[in-house]
Amino acid sequence: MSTVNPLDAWAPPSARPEPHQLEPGHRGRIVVTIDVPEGCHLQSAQPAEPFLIPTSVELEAPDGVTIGEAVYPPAEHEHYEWTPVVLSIYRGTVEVVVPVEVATGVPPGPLSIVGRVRFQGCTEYTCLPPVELPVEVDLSIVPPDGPASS
Amino acid sequence: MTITTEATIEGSYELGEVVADFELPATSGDRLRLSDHRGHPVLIFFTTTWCPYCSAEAPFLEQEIWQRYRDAGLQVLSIQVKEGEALAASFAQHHGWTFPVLFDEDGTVSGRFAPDKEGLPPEVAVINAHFVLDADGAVVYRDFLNMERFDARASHVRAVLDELLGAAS
Repeated sequence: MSTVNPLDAWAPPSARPEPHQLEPGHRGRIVVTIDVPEGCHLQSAQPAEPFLIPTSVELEAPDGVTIGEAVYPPAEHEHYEWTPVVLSIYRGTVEVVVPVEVATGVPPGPLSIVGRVRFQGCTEYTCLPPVELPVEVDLSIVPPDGPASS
Repeated sequence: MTITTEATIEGSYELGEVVADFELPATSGDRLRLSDHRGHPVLIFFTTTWCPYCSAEAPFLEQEIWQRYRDAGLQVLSIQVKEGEALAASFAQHHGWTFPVLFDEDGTVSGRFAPDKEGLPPEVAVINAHFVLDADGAVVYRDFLNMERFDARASHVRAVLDELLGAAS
Protein backbone atom coordinates (compact mmCIF):
# COMPACT_ATOMS: atom_id res chain seq x y z
CA MET A 1 0.00 0.00 0.00
CA SER A 2 1.17 3.49 -0.76
CA THR A 3 2.52 5.42 2.21
CA VAL A 4 1.27 8.69 0.74
CA ASN A 5 -2.32 9.72 0.63
CA PRO A 6 -2.78 9.63 -3.15
CA LEU A 7 -5.41 12.34 -3.00
CA ASP A 8 -2.77 14.74 -1.71
CA ALA A 9 -0.25 13.93 -4.41
CA TRP A 10 -2.01 15.51 -7.37
CA ALA A 11 -0.88 18.98 -8.29
CA PRO A 12 -3.37 21.24 -10.06
CA PRO A 13 -3.02 21.21 -13.84
CA SER A 14 -1.20 24.12 -15.42
CA ALA A 15 -1.45 25.78 -18.83
CA ARG A 16 0.84 27.88 -21.00
CA PRO A 17 0.29 29.67 -24.30
CA GLU A 18 2.53 29.02 -27.27
CA PRO A 19 3.54 31.58 -28.27
CA HIS A 20 2.92 33.80 -25.27
CA GLN A 21 2.01 36.71 -27.54
CA LEU A 22 -0.40 36.51 -30.44
CA GLU A 23 -1.41 38.99 -33.09
CA PRO A 24 -5.05 39.29 -34.13
CA GLY A 25 -5.70 36.99 -37.04
CA HIS A 26 -3.05 34.51 -35.92
CA ARG A 27 -3.12 31.03 -34.46
CA GLY A 28 -1.43 29.59 -31.43
CA ARG A 29 -2.04 26.86 -28.95
CA ILE A 30 -2.62 26.31 -25.28
CA VAL A 31 -0.67 23.48 -23.71
CA VAL A 32 -2.39 22.07 -20.63
CA THR A 33 -0.12 19.99 -18.45
CA ILE A 34 -1.10 17.38 -15.89
CA ASP A 35 1.77 16.03 -13.81
CA VAL A 36 0.89 12.51 -12.79
CA PRO A 37 2.68 11.52 -9.58
CA GLU A 38 5.13 8.64 -9.63
CA GLY A 39 3.32 5.32 -9.32
CA CYS A 40 0.01 6.77 -10.45
CA HIS A 41 -1.77 6.94 -13.77
CA LEU A 42 -4.82 8.49 -15.42
CA GLN A 43 -7.38 6.90 -17.66
CA SER A 44 -6.54 8.19 -21.12
CA ALA A 45 -8.75 10.34 -23.32
CA GLN A 46 -10.15 7.10 -24.71
CA PRO A 47 -10.46 4.67 -21.81
CA ALA A 48 -10.57 0.97 -22.48
CA GLU A 49 -14.00 0.50 -20.95
CA PRO A 50 -17.27 2.34 -20.70
CA PHE A 51 -17.83 4.24 -17.45
CA LEU A 52 -14.14 4.92 -16.88
CA ILE A 53 -13.62 8.66 -16.92
CA PRO A 54 -11.64 9.97 -19.88
CA THR A 55 -9.04 12.67 -19.42
CA SER A 56 -10.55 15.79 -20.94
CA VAL A 57 -9.73 19.46 -21.31
CA GLU A 58 -12.39 22.04 -22.09
CA LEU A 59 -11.48 25.69 -22.56
CA GLU A 60 -14.02 28.48 -22.78
CA ALA A 61 -13.60 30.80 -25.74
CA PRO A 62 -13.60 34.50 -24.83
CA ASP A 63 -15.00 36.94 -27.38
CA GLY A 64 -12.87 36.99 -30.49
CA VAL A 65 -11.10 33.70 -29.81
CA THR A 66 -11.82 30.38 -31.42
CA ILE A 67 -10.94 27.28 -29.44
CA GLY A 68 -10.02 24.22 -31.50
CA GLU A 69 -10.39 20.57 -30.69
CA ALA A 70 -8.04 19.33 -28.01
CA VAL A 71 -5.28 16.97 -29.12
CA TYR A 72 -4.44 14.34 -26.54
CA PRO A 73 -1.16 12.45 -26.30
CA PRO A 74 -0.89 8.81 -27.28
CA ALA A 75 -1.91 6.48 -24.49
CA GLU A 76 0.07 3.70 -22.92
CA HIS A 77 -1.60 0.32 -22.92
CA GLU A 78 -1.07 -1.73 -19.80
CA HIS A 79 -2.24 -5.10 -18.69
CA TYR A 80 -2.93 -5.69 -15.03
CA GLU A 81 -3.26 -9.04 -13.36
CA TRP A 82 -6.72 -8.32 -11.99
CA THR A 83 -8.47 -7.67 -15.29
CA PRO A 84 -8.49 -9.17 -18.77
CA VAL A 85 -8.95 -5.68 -20.21
CA VAL A 86 -5.85 -3.87 -21.45
CA LEU A 87 -6.21 -0.42 -19.92
CA SER A 88 -5.48 2.78 -21.81
CA ILE A 89 -3.65 5.17 -19.50
CA TYR A 90 -1.34 8.14 -19.14
CA ARG A 91 1.69 8.33 -16.88
CA GLY A 92 4.20 11.04 -16.17
CA THR A 93 3.72 14.47 -17.71
CA VAL A 94 0.57 14.61 -19.80
CA GLU A 95 0.34 17.50 -22.26
CA VAL A 96 -2.92 18.27 -24.02
CA VAL A 97 -2.67 20.75 -26.87
CA VAL A 98 -5.60 23.02 -27.66
CA PRO A 99 -5.42 25.18 -30.81
CA VAL A 100 -6.55 28.79 -30.50
CA GLU A 101 -7.12 31.47 -33.10
CA VAL A 102 -7.47 35.16 -32.38
CA ALA A 103 -9.86 37.07 -34.61
CA THR A 104 -8.63 40.11 -36.50
CA GLY A 105 -10.71 42.55 -34.52
CA VAL A 106 -9.45 41.65 -31.07
CA PRO A 107 -7.80 44.66 -29.43
CA PRO A 108 -4.27 44.39 -28.02
CA GLY A 109 -3.95 43.65 -24.33
CA PRO A 110 -4.12 40.74 -21.89
CA LEU A 111 -6.61 37.99 -22.51
CA SER A 112 -7.50 35.28 -20.03
CA ILE A 113 -8.78 31.88 -21.07
CA VAL A 114 -10.31 29.63 -18.42
CA GLY A 115 -11.39 26.03 -18.56
CA ARG A 116 -11.67 22.71 -16.83
CA VAL A 117 -9.59 19.58 -16.70
CA ARG A 118 -11.33 16.37 -15.80
CA PHE A 119 -9.63 13.06 -15.14
CA GLN A 120 -9.71 9.89 -13.12
CA GLY A 121 -6.50 9.07 -11.33
CA CYS A 122 -5.40 5.72 -10.03
CA THR A 123 -2.53 4.42 -7.98
CA GLU A 124 -1.21 0.89 -8.36
CA TYR A 125 -3.55 -0.06 -5.53
CA THR A 126 -6.78 1.80 -6.03
CA CYS A 127 -8.60 4.21 -8.26
CA LEU A 128 -9.65 7.62 -7.06
CA PRO A 129 -12.86 9.48 -7.70
CA PRO A 130 -12.98 11.56 -10.86
CA VAL A 131 -11.97 15.17 -10.35
CA GLU A 132 -12.67 18.34 -12.28
CA LEU A 133 -10.12 21.10 -11.75
CA PRO A 134 -10.02 24.64 -13.06
CA VAL A 135 -7.28 25.83 -15.35
CA GLU A 136 -6.47 29.35 -16.53
CA VAL A 137 -3.99 30.77 -18.97
CA ASP A 138 -3.10 34.35 -19.84
CA LEU A 139 -2.48 35.35 -23.43
CA SER A 140 -1.06 38.64 -24.56
CA ILE A 141 -2.60 40.08 -27.69
CA VAL A 142 -0.16 42.35 -29.44
CA PRO A 143 -0.64 44.73 -32.37
CA PRO A 144 0.11 43.39 -35.85
CA ASP A 145 3.87 43.16 -36.36
CA GLY A 146 4.24 43.42 -32.58
CA PRO A 147 7.01 41.63 -30.66
CA ALA A 148 7.32 37.85 -30.84
CA SER A 149 4.43 37.42 -33.25
CA SER A 150 3.60 33.91 -34.43
CA MET B 1 -21.03 -18.68 12.50
CA THR B 2 -17.75 -17.06 11.51
CA ILE B 3 -16.10 -18.79 8.61
CA THR B 4 -12.90 -16.84 8.17
CA THR B 5 -10.43 -15.33 10.57
CA GLU B 6 -8.19 -12.37 9.97
CA ALA B 7 -6.33 -9.62 11.72
CA THR B 8 -8.36 -6.70 12.97
CA ILE B 9 -9.03 -4.04 10.40
CA GLU B 10 -9.92 -0.73 11.94
CA GLY B 11 -12.93 1.25 10.92
CA SER B 12 -15.17 -1.43 9.50
CA TYR B 13 -17.54 -4.08 10.73
CA GLU B 14 -15.69 -6.90 12.42
CA LEU B 15 -16.24 -10.54 11.71
CA GLY B 16 -19.14 -11.69 13.84
CA GLU B 17 -20.52 -8.18 14.24
CA VAL B 18 -24.15 -7.65 13.30
CA VAL B 19 -24.50 -4.96 10.65
CA ALA B 20 -26.78 -2.10 11.61
CA ASP B 21 -29.89 -1.87 9.52
CA PHE B 22 -29.98 0.62 6.69
CA GLU B 23 -32.35 1.72 4.00
CA LEU B 24 -31.34 2.91 0.56
CA PRO B 25 -33.10 3.64 -2.71
CA ALA B 26 -32.76 1.08 -5.46
CA THR B 27 -32.66 1.53 -9.21
CA SER B 28 -35.91 -0.44 -9.32
CA GLY B 29 -37.61 2.56 -7.73
CA ASP B 30 -38.09 0.83 -4.40
CA ARG B 31 -36.41 1.62 -1.13
CA LEU B 32 -34.78 -1.49 0.32
CA ARG B 33 -33.84 -2.22 3.90
CA LEU B 34 -31.16 -4.66 4.89
CA SER B 35 -33.53 -6.09 7.47
CA ASP B 36 -35.91 -7.03 4.65
CA HIS B 37 -33.53 -9.92 4.05
CA ARG B 38 -33.13 -11.20 7.59
CA GLY B 39 -33.34 -14.95 7.56
CA HIS B 40 -31.26 -15.15 4.41
CA PRO B 41 -27.54 -14.79 3.81
CA VAL B 42 -26.67 -11.55 2.08
CA LEU B 43 -23.69 -10.55 -0.04
CA ILE B 44 -23.11 -6.80 -0.11
CA PHE B 45 -20.80 -5.54 -2.83
CA PHE B 46 -19.64 -1.92 -2.89
CA THR B 47 -18.98 -0.42 -6.28
CA THR B 48 -18.85 2.74 -8.33
CA THR B 49 -19.37 3.14 -12.03
CA TRP B 50 -15.82 4.46 -12.55
CA CYS B 51 -14.16 1.58 -10.69
CA PRO B 52 -12.30 -0.66 -13.16
CA TYR B 53 -11.94 -3.41 -10.57
CA CYS B 54 -15.69 -3.44 -10.14
CA SER B 55 -16.23 -3.67 -13.88
CA ALA B 56 -13.78 -6.55 -14.06
CA GLU B 57 -15.69 -8.42 -11.41
CA ALA B 58 -19.17 -7.51 -12.60
CA PRO B 59 -19.78 -10.59 -14.79
CA PHE B 60 -18.66 -12.88 -11.98
CA LEU B 61 -21.08 -11.32 -9.56
CA GLU B 62 -23.97 -12.00 -11.86
CA GLN B 63 -22.98 -15.40 -13.21
CA GLU B 64 -20.83 -17.00 -10.52
CA ILE B 65 -22.53 -15.60 -7.44
CA TRP B 66 -26.07 -14.42 -8.03
CA GLN B 67 -27.18 -16.97 -10.61
CA ARG B 68 -25.41 -19.77 -8.79
CA TYR B 69 -26.73 -19.10 -5.27
CA ARG B 70 -29.98 -17.21 -5.58
CA ASP B 71 -32.10 -20.35 -5.51
CA ALA B 72 -30.27 -21.43 -2.37
CA GLY B 73 -31.49 -18.31 -0.63
CA LEU B 74 -28.66 -15.85 -1.13
CA GLN B 75 -29.53 -12.20 -1.59
CA VAL B 76 -27.00 -10.03 -3.42
CA LEU B 77 -27.11 -6.28 -2.82
CA SER B 78 -24.86 -4.01 -4.83
CA ILE B 79 -24.35 -0.58 -3.35
CA GLN B 80 -23.22 2.18 -5.69
CA VAL B 81 -21.10 4.49 -3.57
CA LYS B 82 -21.71 8.21 -4.06
CA GLU B 83 -23.44 7.63 -7.36
CA GLY B 84 -26.84 8.74 -8.55
CA GLU B 85 -29.68 6.64 -9.85
CA ALA B 86 -29.14 7.17 -13.56
CA LEU B 87 -25.49 6.13 -13.62
CA ALA B 88 -26.12 3.27 -11.22
CA ALA B 89 -28.91 1.95 -13.41
CA SER B 90 -26.87 2.34 -16.59
CA PHE B 91 -23.92 0.48 -15.07
CA ALA B 92 -26.16 -2.36 -13.92
CA GLN B 93 -27.79 -2.61 -17.31
CA HIS B 94 -24.43 -2.61 -19.09
CA HIS B 95 -23.25 -5.54 -16.99
CA GLY B 96 -26.54 -7.40 -17.11
CA TRP B 97 -27.04 -7.33 -13.36
CA THR B 98 -30.37 -8.72 -12.26
CA PHE B 99 -29.86 -8.40 -8.50
CA PRO B 100 -30.87 -5.25 -6.61
CA VAL B 101 -28.69 -2.20 -7.12
CA LEU B 102 -28.86 0.39 -4.36
CA PHE B 103 -27.35 3.82 -4.58
CA ASP B 104 -25.82 5.62 -1.65
CA GLU B 105 -25.55 9.16 -2.94
CA ASP B 106 -23.97 10.75 0.10
CA GLY B 107 -21.89 7.72 1.05
CA THR B 108 -23.17 7.60 4.62
CA VAL B 109 -24.13 3.94 4.68
CA SER B 110 -21.04 2.89 2.73
CA GLY B 111 -18.82 4.76 5.14
CA ARG B 112 -19.87 2.47 8.00
CA PHE B 113 -18.32 -0.45 6.13
CA ALA B 114 -15.12 1.35 5.15
CA PRO B 115 -11.75 0.36 6.61
CA ASP B 116 -9.17 2.92 7.63
CA LYS B 117 -6.88 2.94 4.64
CA GLU B 118 -3.92 5.25 4.36
CA GLY B 119 -5.92 8.41 4.56
CA LEU B 120 -8.32 7.47 1.82
CA PRO B 121 -11.82 8.84 2.30
CA PRO B 122 -14.27 6.14 3.34
CA GLU B 123 -16.12 6.19 0.05
CA VAL B 124 -12.90 5.25 -1.73
CA ALA B 125 -11.63 2.78 0.85
CA VAL B 126 -14.80 0.70 0.68
CA ILE B 127 -14.95 0.34 -3.10
CA ASN B 128 -14.85 -3.22 -4.35
CA ALA B 129 -15.35 -4.61 -0.85
CA HIS B 130 -17.46 -7.72 -0.25
CA PHE B 131 -19.35 -8.46 2.93
CA VAL B 132 -21.13 -11.75 3.44
CA LEU B 133 -23.71 -11.70 6.22
CA ASP B 134 -25.35 -14.73 7.71
CA ALA B 135 -29.10 -15.09 8.18
CA ASP B 136 -28.85 -13.07 11.41
CA GLY B 137 -27.07 -10.19 9.72
CA ALA B 138 -23.65 -10.93 11.22
CA VAL B 139 -20.50 -10.55 9.13
CA VAL B 140 -19.03 -13.95 8.28
CA TYR B 141 -16.68 -12.79 5.53
CA ARG B 142 -15.31 -9.55 4.25
CA ASP B 143 -12.59 -8.50 1.91
CA PHE B 144 -11.31 -5.25 0.53
CA LEU B 145 -9.63 -4.23 -2.68
CA ASN B 146 -6.26 -5.93 -2.70
CA MET B 147 -5.21 -6.35 -6.35
CA GLU B 148 -5.87 -10.05 -6.26
CA ARG B 149 -7.36 -11.33 -9.49
CA PHE B 150 -11.07 -10.72 -9.56
CA ASP B 151 -11.80 -14.36 -10.32
CA ALA B 152 -9.70 -15.46 -7.35
CA ARG B 153 -11.57 -13.08 -5.09
CA ALA B 154 -14.86 -14.37 -6.40
CA SER B 155 -13.72 -17.90 -5.67
CA HIS B 156 -13.06 -16.91 -2.04
CA VAL B 157 -16.60 -15.57 -1.81
CA ARG B 158 -17.96 -18.71 -3.38
CA ALA B 159 -16.11 -20.89 -0.86
CA VAL B 160 -17.77 -18.93 1.94
CA LEU B 161 -21.18 -19.21 0.33
CA ASP B 162 -20.73 -22.94 -0.26
CA GLU B 163 -20.11 -23.42 3.44
CA LEU B 164 -22.82 -21.01 4.52
CA LEU B 165 -25.45 -22.45 2.23
CA GLY B 166 -24.44 -26.05 2.69
CA ALA B 167 -22.72 -26.39 -0.67
CA ALA B 168 -26.02 -25.69 -2.31
CA SER B 169 -24.28 -24.68 -5.50
